[in-house]
Amino acid sequence: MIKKQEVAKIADLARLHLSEDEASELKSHFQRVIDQFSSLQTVDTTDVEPMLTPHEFSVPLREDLVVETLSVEDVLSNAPDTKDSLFKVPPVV
Amino acid sequence: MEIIELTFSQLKDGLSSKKISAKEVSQAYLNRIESMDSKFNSYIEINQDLIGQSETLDNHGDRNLPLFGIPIAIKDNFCTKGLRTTAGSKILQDFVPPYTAHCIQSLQNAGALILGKTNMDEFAMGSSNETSYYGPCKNPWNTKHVPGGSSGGSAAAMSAKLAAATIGSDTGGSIRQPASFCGVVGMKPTYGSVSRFGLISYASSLDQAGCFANDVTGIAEVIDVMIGKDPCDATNVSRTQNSLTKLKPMDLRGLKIGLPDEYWTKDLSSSTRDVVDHCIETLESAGCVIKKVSLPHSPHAIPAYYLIAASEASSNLSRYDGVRYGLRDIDKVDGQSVADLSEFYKLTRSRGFGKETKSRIMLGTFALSSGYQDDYYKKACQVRRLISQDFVDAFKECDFIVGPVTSQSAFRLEEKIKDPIAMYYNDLFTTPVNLAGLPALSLPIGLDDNKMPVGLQVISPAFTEEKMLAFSLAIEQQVEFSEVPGV
Repeated sequence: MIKKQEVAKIADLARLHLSEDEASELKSHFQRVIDQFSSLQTVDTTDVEPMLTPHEFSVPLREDLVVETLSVEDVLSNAPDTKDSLFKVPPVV
Repeated sequence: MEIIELTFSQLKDGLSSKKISAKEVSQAYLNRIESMDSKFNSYIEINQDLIGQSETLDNHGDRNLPLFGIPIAIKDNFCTKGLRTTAGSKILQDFVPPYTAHCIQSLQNAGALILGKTNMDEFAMGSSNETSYYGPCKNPWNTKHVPGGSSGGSAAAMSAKLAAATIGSDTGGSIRQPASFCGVVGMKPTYGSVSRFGLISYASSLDQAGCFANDVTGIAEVIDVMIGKDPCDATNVSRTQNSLTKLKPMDLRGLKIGLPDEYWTKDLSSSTRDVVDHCIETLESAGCVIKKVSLPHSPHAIPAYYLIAASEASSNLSRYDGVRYGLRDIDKVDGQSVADLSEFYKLTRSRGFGKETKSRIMLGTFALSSGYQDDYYKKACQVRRLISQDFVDAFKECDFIVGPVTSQSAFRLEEKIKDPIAMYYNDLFTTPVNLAGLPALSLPIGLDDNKMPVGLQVISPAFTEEKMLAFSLAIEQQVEFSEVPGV
């Protein structure tokens, strides 16, 4: 059984606050998902390599050339808060 | 004939031969959206500059461009420079991208105009369009029913003729399922065919852009432009592409068609089964050789898919932290110290993400956490290889695989949203294709007992889009599905 503390730990890792209701709903959802998905454990995967992506070609390389990208102004255009050419965040220390 | 009643080919010919102007076409679609979309909620954002852009195209554009003046609606998870892009989420409610997704830029370079951005499940997480922060989209065939998801807005807009073509993304069935529910054609090409650059990431090893149209020819014209090389996406596959636009229907005589045993399950509704079986009889009469094939691991596709997709999502969505773009929990943190950086992220993310998104981030975090990773994520990836191998084996015995897209036609609004597991199993016949990275499409073939459309899923080996489309065109001509929703 998934415990309440485990749900809280996962929420912390996922950087989410959960209300009591959300935590309780997610706990029962998790339990159902884990029960339902336990069928996977019945599949014999001895010596089967995990498949991480559909086409397992080598990663293409490109020349190390300077190319034009977005301007600083464009990059900052959606930031909630900025100062000069920087993203501004609250003091955290 | 009214502009919106024209087929894709007729519209294209009318525009290139100057019989109609791009402005007239854009205006006709805008008028229809204005008068009708309040019933469906298929659009989140309309392009306010469209008429100006269509005039510029009329005056200075090259009428030989393949998509000259064709107004296209874009799912709201593709970045469009200067046009708000929300991915159906509150956390991106004010996000105006400074660049355009590669495949959308390709459409614009080919002369297409952007009508607007279509409704979708939040971050493409959903099968009913009900997880959208901007309200659910409704099915034009019956507004008490869902249009499917996650590309529900694009499918509904296509079905109600609120665009000449629409763009979607398919991670676990998000183009094929809504296409089936809304009675339009919807295709996902082979994984890696269309660049993912500028497509807001959900599950990067599964996400693939594709499109909707009212016929196979329209699909071929649009997908031909979208497929292409882009160095900005490392998983984009370079290949010599044959033109998909010179499509001829494939000779059906002697073609070997595989029916996977595992798709004719007890969960398949009799009403949907009858429509699909009737279509297969039609293909057999036309000369196809119908064969049973097996995809023995496909019943495990749902757990494998959801564990992999949620794991990738938990990583991809970590970027929404309230620093560089998107919502920040301003009231509580701006200008003040916070106890720690983690608290700063938590406040923003908890307010910005909806329930289903939080749930999948949590599931993914769980599947990747120490102690569980081997049992869940790794196991899912191993099963993924077995599912992929099933298709390789099946295609040794047949040219194409066909079957149902979903086990039933479009369900009612709120029917499944409270039962996420039932909602997940709605993707039973579509997720194996994404896990294997194959091209597939949904073709409308009839109506079920509730007068709701049913699609036929056509699955083809990797990188055989041209053949899949030629085969689908032949089916389309045999089936002659001509029903339209009574909007």
